[in-house]
Amino acid sequence: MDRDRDCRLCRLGRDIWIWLLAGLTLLLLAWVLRDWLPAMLRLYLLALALLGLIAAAHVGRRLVSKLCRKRGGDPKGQGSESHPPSRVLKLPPRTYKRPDPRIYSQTWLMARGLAVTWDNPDIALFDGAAKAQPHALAPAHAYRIRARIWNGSPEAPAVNMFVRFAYLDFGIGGARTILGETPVDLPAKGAPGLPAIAEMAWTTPATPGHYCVQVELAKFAFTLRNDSPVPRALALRMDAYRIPSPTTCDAREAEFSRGRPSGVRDPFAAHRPTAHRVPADWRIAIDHDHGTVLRPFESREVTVDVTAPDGFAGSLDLNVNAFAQTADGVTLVGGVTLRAHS
Amino acid sequence: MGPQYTSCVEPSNFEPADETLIWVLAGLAAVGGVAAVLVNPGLALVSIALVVQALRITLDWMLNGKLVCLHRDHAATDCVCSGDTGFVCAIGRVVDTEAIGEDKNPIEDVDNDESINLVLHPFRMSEFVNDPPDDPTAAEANLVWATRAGVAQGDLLRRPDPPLKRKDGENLPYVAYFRTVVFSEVFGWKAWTEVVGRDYGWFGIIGPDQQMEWGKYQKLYRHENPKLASVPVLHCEFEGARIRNVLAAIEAFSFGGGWCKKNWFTRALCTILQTVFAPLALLAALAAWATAADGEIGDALEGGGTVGPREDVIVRGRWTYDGGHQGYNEIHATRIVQKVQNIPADPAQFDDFLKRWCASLSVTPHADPAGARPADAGAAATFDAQQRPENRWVLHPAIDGCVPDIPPPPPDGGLH
Repeated sequence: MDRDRDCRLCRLGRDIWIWLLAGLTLLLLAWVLRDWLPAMLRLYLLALALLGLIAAAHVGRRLVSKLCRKRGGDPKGQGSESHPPSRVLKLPPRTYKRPDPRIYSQTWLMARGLAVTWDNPDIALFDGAAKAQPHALAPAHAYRIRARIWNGSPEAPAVNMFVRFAYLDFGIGGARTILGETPVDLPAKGAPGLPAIAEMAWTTPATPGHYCVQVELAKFAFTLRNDSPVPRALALRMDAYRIPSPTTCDAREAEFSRGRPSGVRDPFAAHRPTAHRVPADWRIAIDHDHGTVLRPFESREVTVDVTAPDGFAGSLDLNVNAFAQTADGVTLVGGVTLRAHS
Repeated sequence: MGPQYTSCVEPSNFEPADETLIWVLAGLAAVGGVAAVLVNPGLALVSIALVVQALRITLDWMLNGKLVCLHRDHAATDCVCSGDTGFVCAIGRVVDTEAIGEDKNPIEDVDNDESINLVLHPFRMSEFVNDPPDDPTAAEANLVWATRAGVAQGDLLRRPDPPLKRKDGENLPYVAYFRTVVFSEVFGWKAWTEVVGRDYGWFGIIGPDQQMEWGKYQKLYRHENPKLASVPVLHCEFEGARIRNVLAAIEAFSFGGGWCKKNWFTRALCTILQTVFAPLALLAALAAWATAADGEIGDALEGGGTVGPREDVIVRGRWTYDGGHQGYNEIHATRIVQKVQNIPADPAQFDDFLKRWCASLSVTPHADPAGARPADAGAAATFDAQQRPENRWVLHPAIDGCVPDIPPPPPDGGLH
């Protein structure tokens, strides 16, 4: 209703004849009241003068008030006595910058509806100068963990940003052991030196663990642990996502100009879990009941029987993601990536 | 980057505000106002025109004449964050913040800048404690200590030697900027304005007497033996839009005002136009005053942040000398603020830390207006790289990135 009225007013305001009519009416009014015009002008000017005096009096009162207060306090820049309390300033994004450090994060990506792999593309192990096979680590052996850190902010670098290294027992919800922290300098997005590389020495535990998945071994096992202080049931879901080979920039630009989605096409379609279902001709049996409630910090072994189709050649990643039902909905607890190869 | 409405002048072009002229105009306006009421209301027009002229001269000086450009000696500092010697970076800890209009008279309230005061790293607050507490030379001694040779960032606060000379050959005074800090060996330090600051309302003081509060504080915490320190700080201002808006509102009635200073004829024409339209200009100026965004806080906060006492920040902005007060260096306008962590306490390590921060910011594109290509070569190269498709990812390069001409360094694949 208001919008209609505004539109009618706008239409009237755009009509030159309305303005001419208003002008003529004003002239007519002035002619009718011609004997009163000098008096009205004097009244108008008198009002202006009175308003000016009131304003001047107000400014004068404030001036005297402030001058009196400042007599007992420190002048600007010469101390803080008789100054107002310090407050926290709120700064807008054009002034206040913050870096946006990124590493491939399964929880963060899954929260955005994307499939994830637990073979993190940003973390690698090195044995001396050579890259180590993460599925064939020797016990009690010194390795170097190398992490690749990105920055999503084009305007905020970070210097001396600490990167913390930790490892989990292989499985889901495994115990976490912190290895240490190391500082890195993280340039802004696109600046030289990005991605930043953080390194940490790590000696694998002396007790051999389930670090390796053998070829053709059709049975996987991992530990499922409820790392919460409350009992909860953990549901396992499986997909066959593997980070696709990156497209060429030309192809991506042709499809999504400046990286933005256009039309109804989903720019992340290749990363959705639904696009990576376990192939129908693979038979998967997980020895786990989704309704089983695990006690606080209870661990149990979960076995996965995988039967590949006849004549399978190559490798297939099987991501097992564990979810807990919470008051806020479903929460990702963790996951493992099992790799089957011929 | 944050806004910057002011411009600065080189020291040799600096002229102090013509206060005599402004007071004469204001005095005549007041006399004209009284005469308008008592003698002839027509004099109200002249009175308003005089007020508008006084306001215009004051605002023009505050916007374009008050600040003196300073230039950092790049050969003598570890912090080079721009090819422009007037654009500097500094790492410090926030001592306190200053409210709009603090220490200013009602006319100067038109300057609605917010500000923070930084004690520059590396520092130890205990070195600034006044002993005895009322020693009038303590502040000067602290300034000498904070700017001694070899200390990182000391040049930002150091008294110019030889002094800067203004247009008429006089020396520009320099007293530096100090804030009062309450120090204790037990709890560390707090700004005086955190301990006993008080509010000043529109109609008078709200809150108790400060000396009385300080006395109570000393009694209550006598076991901590609190002492006062006069700390030299780097004053950093975030510009508000009020001066610019009010001046623009006035000059709009002389059709921009930019052409007015060309010659005597244009000056006279402008004066006539501004006199004729003075009542309207005054109304427009008052409207601009009332609606101007305060220094930064008027903006939307999405993605922004907060800065308060005892937080470590790096600031980036124009280094100037404020000729409107008793004489000190400051950053005006502060264009960029970022929080800083893990600052080394050791001076030698801090030098390296500062150098790395400044080097990193020198290749970070902060441009005005936003989205423009920066002038600095390093930042411009990063800006160009950011436009390339391989750097336009939003989530992660492995998800929505693409294959660049030069692949990123290893590693790839591995553990979680």
